[in-house]
Amino acid sequence: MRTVLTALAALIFAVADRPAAQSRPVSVQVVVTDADGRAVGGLTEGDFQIASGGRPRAVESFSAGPSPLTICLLLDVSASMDGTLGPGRAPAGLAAAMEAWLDARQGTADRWLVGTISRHVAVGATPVADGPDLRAAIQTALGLADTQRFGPSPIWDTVDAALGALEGESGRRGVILVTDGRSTGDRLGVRDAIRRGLGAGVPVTVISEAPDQTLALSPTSLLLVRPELALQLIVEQTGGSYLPAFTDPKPALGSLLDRAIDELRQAYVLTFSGTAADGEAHTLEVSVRHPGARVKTRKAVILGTGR
Amino acid sequence: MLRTSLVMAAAGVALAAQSPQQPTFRSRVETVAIYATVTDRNGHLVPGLAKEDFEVREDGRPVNITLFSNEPQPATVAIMLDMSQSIGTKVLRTRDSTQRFIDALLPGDRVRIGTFGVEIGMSPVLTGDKDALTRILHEELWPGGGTPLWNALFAAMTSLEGETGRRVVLSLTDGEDTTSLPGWPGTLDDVRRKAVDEDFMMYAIAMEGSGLERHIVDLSEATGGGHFEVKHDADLGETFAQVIDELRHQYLFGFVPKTLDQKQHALEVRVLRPGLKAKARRSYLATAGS
Repeated sequence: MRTVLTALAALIFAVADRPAAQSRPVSVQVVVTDADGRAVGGLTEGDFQIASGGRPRAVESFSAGPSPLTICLLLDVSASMDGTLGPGRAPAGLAAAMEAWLDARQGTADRWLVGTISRHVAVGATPVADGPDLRAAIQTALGLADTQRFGPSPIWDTVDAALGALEGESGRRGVILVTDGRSTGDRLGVRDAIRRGLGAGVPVTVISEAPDQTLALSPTSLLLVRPELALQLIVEQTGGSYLPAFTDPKPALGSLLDRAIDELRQAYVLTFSGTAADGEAHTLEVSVRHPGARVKTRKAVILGTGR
Repeated sequence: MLRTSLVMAAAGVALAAQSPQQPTFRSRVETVAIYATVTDRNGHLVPGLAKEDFEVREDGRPVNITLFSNEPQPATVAIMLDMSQSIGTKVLRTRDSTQRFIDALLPGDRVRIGTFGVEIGMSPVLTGDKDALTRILHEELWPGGGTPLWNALFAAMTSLEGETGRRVVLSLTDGEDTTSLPGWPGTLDDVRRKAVDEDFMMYAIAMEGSGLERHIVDLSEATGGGHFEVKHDADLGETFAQVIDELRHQYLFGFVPKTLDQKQHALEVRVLRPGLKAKARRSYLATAGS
């Protein structure tokens, strides 16, 4: 009887090596800027060093810009944006600014998704070409009914949807978000959106209409309302750029868009291996041998969804 | 139109085991559910009373109480926070006070957080997950705009449609309705009709120095909820704690109506012990559950 039980136990319990999480190659977009914030081109593979999870990684493939892009442009049309792009409703201000930008824009091979921050998460399903298709997509997005603009403003749900839409796209990608940062009615928080960005490897660039609001708490203390904090956080973590649009004098929206696009176009793409596909965040550090250079890239890599 | 929470399907009404689960009702006849708060002369909550301590009257006549519970019942609550421009510096107090409500939730309770001001920011999340609710409090409170109070209350009730059991709307405001927003329906009359006909329990808290509109006071009394005007904003957290304590100690009654005639019928819950009084909704609409 004892023998039978032992045999049965051997069937139920067996010791085996724990399967290691698989790894797969990781591609990272890297933007290098000089001391004046201009994108630096002309670097070579040997100029870069990569460490992930604290360990140096060999660069297995390298690609330098300029290259065509796939961009998801998210325009916040919610009521809290009214008056930020000129007097009146946000869609009208955005439409005028975008028309001016489109009129001055040369055709490119870029592909676009257009979405809006409004009552419902709205992100285009299929990328459209630059030119008339992009103009039509923007006009459609901004033509939403006024009833859709008075809340909620699910910024992070919309960013998450944009990142999801870009996940299947190849080449250089980016989300450009034009917003005042006043998110409401989100199913996800900013940390969820950052995690999605780290997993997708897509930088989020913000054109911010979110200046600090200062309120007097008492004769000796002030309350700072800072919607830009969350915006800056997602930019830093995903390797995007933070472009304030509320400076004096106020820059044209088109000029900020051009700057964001130019940076993305000049991005380098480096591929390395060795990061476990375990759903965990593995730190990523990229440095470059170039005096005064600043590197923008995601702060971590997340592969897989974990066990 | 009337929903299962108002007139619950309940022949042979079987209340599930006394646990923090939603009561389960099995039956083919409709049962009218009433939640009541009992206080003593000092306004203190009185728990632990028995079915025999109560009398429920419909249109002035006692009814047979077929359902009774004096155990804590889970609540489904939409919290609507006034973020109008005038709230300005009180946003931190609002956040921290609401946090006290969240911290006191028990298993089975579920909360949705909404804000109203330049927009109505109704969260899609209805949950008892305290981390998720805390995130909303820390990321989604933005002062600015007017006070679309009726729009907000209507939206809060609409967001709880389809939920069963006790449905509560708790609003925190510093003023009167001043505006309405495109895309958000709800006048005072709409709010009043929906709250009374569809059995929403309305609570309202007014911040220091603001007072509550008479309509809000009337609405909370008609629906068995409550209204509070804090003397000092520092007491706000305590007031939120008081509301959840009240919800925790409400009694549940049910009775089978004689007829479903699509009409309003007066309700009254009486405590048969001296010095105690009950507050509960004052009427119900006799309509079959959806």
